[in-house]
Amino acid sequence: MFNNYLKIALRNLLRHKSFSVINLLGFAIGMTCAILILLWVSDEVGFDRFHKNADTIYRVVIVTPSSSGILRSAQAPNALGPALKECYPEIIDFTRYMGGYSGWLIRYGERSFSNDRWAAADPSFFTLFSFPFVHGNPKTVFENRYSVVITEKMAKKYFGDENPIGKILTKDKTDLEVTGIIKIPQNSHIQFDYIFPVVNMKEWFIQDLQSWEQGPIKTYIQLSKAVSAKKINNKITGIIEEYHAQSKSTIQLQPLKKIHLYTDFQDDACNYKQGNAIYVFIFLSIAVCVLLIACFNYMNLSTARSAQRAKEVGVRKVIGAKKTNIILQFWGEAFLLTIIALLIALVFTDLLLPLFNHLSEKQLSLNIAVNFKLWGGLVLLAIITGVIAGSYPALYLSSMHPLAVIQISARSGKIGHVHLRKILVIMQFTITIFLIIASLAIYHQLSFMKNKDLGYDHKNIIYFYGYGKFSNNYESIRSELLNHPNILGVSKSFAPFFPETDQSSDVDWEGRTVDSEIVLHHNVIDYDYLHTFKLTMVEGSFFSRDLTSDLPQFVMNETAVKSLEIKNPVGKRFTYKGQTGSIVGVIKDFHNKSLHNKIAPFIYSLYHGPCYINIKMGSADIQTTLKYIGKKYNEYMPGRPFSYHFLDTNINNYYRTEQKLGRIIKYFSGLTVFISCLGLLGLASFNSMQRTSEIGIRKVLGASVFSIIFMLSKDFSKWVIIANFIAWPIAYYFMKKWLQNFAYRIDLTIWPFILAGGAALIIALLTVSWQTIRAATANPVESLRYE
Amino acid sequence: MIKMKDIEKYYKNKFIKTWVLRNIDLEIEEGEFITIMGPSGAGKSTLLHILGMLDDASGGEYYFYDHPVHQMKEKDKIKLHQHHIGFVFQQYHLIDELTVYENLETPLLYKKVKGAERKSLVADMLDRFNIVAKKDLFPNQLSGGQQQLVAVARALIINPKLILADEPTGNLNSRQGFEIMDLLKKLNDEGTTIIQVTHDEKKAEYGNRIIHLLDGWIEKNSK
Repeated sequence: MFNNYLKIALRNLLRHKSFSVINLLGFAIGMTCAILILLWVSDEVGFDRFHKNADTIYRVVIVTPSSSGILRSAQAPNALGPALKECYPEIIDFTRYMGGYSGWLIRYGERSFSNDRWAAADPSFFTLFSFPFVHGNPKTVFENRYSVVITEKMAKKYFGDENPIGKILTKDKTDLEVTGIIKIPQNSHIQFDYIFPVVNMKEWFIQDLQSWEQGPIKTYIQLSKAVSAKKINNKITGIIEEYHAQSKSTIQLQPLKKIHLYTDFQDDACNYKQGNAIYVFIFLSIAVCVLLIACFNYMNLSTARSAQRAKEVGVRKVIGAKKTNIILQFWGEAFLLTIIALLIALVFTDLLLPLFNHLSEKQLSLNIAVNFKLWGGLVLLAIITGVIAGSYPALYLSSMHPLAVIQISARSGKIGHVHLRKILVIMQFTITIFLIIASLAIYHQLSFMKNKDLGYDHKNIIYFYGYGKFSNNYESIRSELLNHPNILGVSKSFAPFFPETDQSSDVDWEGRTVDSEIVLHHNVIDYDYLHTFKLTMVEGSFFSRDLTSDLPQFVMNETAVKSLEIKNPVGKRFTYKGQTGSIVGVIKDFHNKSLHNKIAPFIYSLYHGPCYINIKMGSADIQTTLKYIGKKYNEYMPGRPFSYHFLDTNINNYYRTEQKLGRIIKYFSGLTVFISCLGLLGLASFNSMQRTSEIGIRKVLGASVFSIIFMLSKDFSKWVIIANFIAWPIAYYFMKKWLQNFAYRIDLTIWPFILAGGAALIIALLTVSWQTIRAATANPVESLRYE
Repeated sequence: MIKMKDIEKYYKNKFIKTWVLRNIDLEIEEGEFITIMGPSGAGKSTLLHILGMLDDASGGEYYFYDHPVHQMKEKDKIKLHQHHIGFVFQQYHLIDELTVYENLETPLLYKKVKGAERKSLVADMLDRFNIVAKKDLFPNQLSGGQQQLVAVARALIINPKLILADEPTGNLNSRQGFEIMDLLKKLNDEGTTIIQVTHDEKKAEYGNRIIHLLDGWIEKNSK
């Protein structure tokens, strides 16, 4: 029986080539999208799951109420971890961790690099987590405080083929012994190149490890299996206040497995791309939509063709087939098609993976040979697609009465639900139009952000950290740099232009009337900051070399003035973290955060220590200017590689997720357009075939070619227009929602909607035009002869 | 073998009943060769379809070997029909996508006959109808007469007690037509009950009883 079905299915495939090609191509493209997206999703969802204790590890999140809402951060007080372990037996272990930052110079003999990412952690880091070790014993690698564990990649870079264990790496003047080599899987939210014991952070990062103040270090804890995280969370939520009465912060436990996708605050770990559950959902939905569109094509074309298949069904029933036999047969045909399509899709996927990896910034691979789970998934994909696509033809054709089927002539086309076909085409175009609108709206918002005047100059500005000697001789270096004609400004600041770290509610000012807690962002800068970034003052004056004072001076932005409700701020007394001085000026608001966020209240003060150096260059000859700066840098810092960042790149990075989304949606909407049109093409050809005699009669009666083209295209246009009216409100709702991610956003105008709708209509008409024109211009005698 | 009591068939269209068959009383013994005749629209095909369980009567009783078909479930009807009844149509109704061999094999597949037995049954049939050489051809590669020959062979392969033939020669030229009729006669002589529908007086004479239908009524039932 199976052979019989297979034979019929194959012969049908070969006989009706256009039908088969349309369906195979549709399925193959749909499945390719689905496979790519599923690979991406499984990578995103699989983050941090490789740890043996993944189910019982939690990250401590500190929740602080403030005037600007609730602040959440993974940066915990350094004393928290030890206290938790001591007081609560349910908490088996903890580790403090900080890392992902680069810039520290590490030497090995003659070779030195500063772009490796450092990290620091407690010794328990290696037993709590289970990063795979290549060399070394996880339990003992940090026995000596001057030891370092490096990744396999870094080992190769520094030592080549030599055995790295026992080698000495030097940070400044401290020798660190390499005690272990580990691998950091790509799907880990913890990323670094080398890691040393956290005790060293005392000297190297001025961290008090017994402090209850919130520092830059994070804390992870491991719970015993028997307890519920919720209960423990309730128990420990107020622990910070017990030790540190001034603090209003509470604790929340975040499961390790949810860190990647469900962290709703900016995770400050560098070089790690935070995920977003919403985007996983969006992409999954797109995959489902694209596949559904391909399934709809199949259903549509099958039912359109059902008149031809009906006779076969009738005959089979007369000679003894049961309903289930027929159902199985048609489902089998759908499966055969989806299995072939799957094979084609695998080839497509293999070809497209490099492009997709580039778009999604991942290293996904289609390692079918080793990945049995993937195999299972793919087969499941084919089966699900087959079940959905085959359901309608199978159930519909099998339920036909044998007599009805036999007596109907195969060309009358009365069989086949015209209504269902309409609905399916409308649904396809609804999805397609929705995706086009989405990609247009995303494109709009992205170009809006790109072209928005941020209120400061960010073109051709680089920044880098000025280490020891460089910072110590800052003034003379500055004038040397300014000698270069293409260097327009040099300024320094404690944090880069977009600081995420220093903020405090420990503020007070003259005439304070505001009661609630106010969190101010703070950056320390120098006299040339205003000029370098082309900022403007609205009141008072900026820091100036001529205006020295023994007391701290503060400059704040307009937003800060507003949220502090200070009238006539210039000259008023101001205290930040216990430092009291006066406000000397108010700076005009500029976008000191990404456009997702409102402009933050900021204060600035003067600082003279080691800092980031910001250099504004003219647009003339960037490369030579950079070389010049590099040369100057090395005069003061011999042997240290000159590494710098462009401010523009940094700004760009803020919108990377959205750019990625935009690019991917753009491609997928293109594909859905293509698959939908394939289906339309098939339908159009069936439609004009079914109406051949009608067209012939109309022509004999004197209908013009144009009126027949119009008649044939009318239905398709109607469907697409209806699809527009369904897609528009849905797209409006979702895009409005998406735009709410941005504090500064475009107004959603009618244009993307009209553009998408118009484009869909034109593409649909062009698709069917070939068929309709052919039908309309055919010789009527020819078409009537069939009858 | 077959007993029909007061069988009637109508189609309801809102308030109007359109009668197709009225008050049909019929008894058919095993081994008979019955011809149903009558003008177009007299209900011949409908009667044949009801006899073959492809259609349900609107009223009356129908016993097939004493099984009350009018009370049977669809599933049992299919089983009965799978084992006892073969159909031959005017338009042959072979499956275009299958070869002669496969067309003959299909009813056996639905009857779940085992592979080896199936092969020998199909081989026998090909032999008997002298179409061994054509077994790998598709229906559209055969002449009308040859297609009908295959259709008869397919009806016969389940070894039915009853063959229902709906104008089996209607699409054939006269020589081919008489060949098929001779074949049916031979089958009847071997014991198969045959009921045919035809317009053709000459072909009607092959039967040993003629039933004349007119406007749904049995007008004449004569030996």
